[in-house]
Amino acid sequence: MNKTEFLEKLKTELNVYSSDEVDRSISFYSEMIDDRVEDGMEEEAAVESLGSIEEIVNQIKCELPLSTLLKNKAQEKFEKNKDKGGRNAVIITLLILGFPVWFPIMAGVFAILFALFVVLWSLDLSLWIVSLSGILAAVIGILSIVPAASIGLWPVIYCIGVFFVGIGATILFFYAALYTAKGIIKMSVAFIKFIKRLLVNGK
Amino acid sequence: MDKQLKRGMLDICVLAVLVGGDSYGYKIIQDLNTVVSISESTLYPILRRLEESGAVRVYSVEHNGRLRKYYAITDIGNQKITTFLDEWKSMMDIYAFIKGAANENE
Repeated sequence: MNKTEFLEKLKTELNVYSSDEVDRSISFYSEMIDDRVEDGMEEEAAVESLGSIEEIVNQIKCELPLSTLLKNKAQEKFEKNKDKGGRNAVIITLLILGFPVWFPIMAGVFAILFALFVVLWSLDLSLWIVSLSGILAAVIGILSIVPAASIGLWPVIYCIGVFFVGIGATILFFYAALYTAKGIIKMSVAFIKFIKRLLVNGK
Repeated sequence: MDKQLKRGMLDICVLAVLVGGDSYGYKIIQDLNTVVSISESTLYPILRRLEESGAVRVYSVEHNGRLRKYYAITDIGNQKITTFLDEWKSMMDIYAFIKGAANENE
């Protein structure tokens, strides 16, 4: 396969992606082939050494957002089954007949995932609220020193105590909330990556 | 090696190559070849990822009548290397601990 053929083939394989995506990868691989040829390699050998187009396309796919991947996958499946009209009809019939079975299961899975998501963020939200109420306590503590002074020394000490406890709680819970949020985001990203890999590698 | 682990390391390897000066795709692969052999199809998404996260800056230079893309490391990229080294320092401590425990057992 020569350079033109290779790039043409890569272009066809990537045709479901945005033209910007296609242009970027075409220019990258074209540069790679040119550099190898300049280094003294035969054009065909240079193309050969880039590896299979399938591998290249898979690597590019893994970097795309999940929604694009899902859309492309559905489109691919649809195009593939277009010419197998008979089998397609059977699948559609089965999907419709099986609807009472698969729909509740799918809905259940999504509901569980969603609930998990809500629970995690509620936990984080409550930490933020505690942190905020710490600020509130500190402010009230400071403001009450003046009226407390008219009663005596002990109320003033009490107010100062409230102030420091408030500040302490704010700092402590601020970090707790921050790290919880970071953790949840990291987990979500890892989960999406996992789903992506399943989609791209699964045939 | 664990795939995920290697993936994260390769990003840093590419950045490390760029610390020595701006470079282009083919050259990066050759420079890396002494430590880890990496294919074009692996490098391409890495460079895209690094570009998107702002760790590298891309510019084109004319070379023999065609354009060649050069990659330069940014402050964000340098920061990534520092973070990596810090993380691995604690990893190496764990490694030493495990190795010590294993040797004692022999």
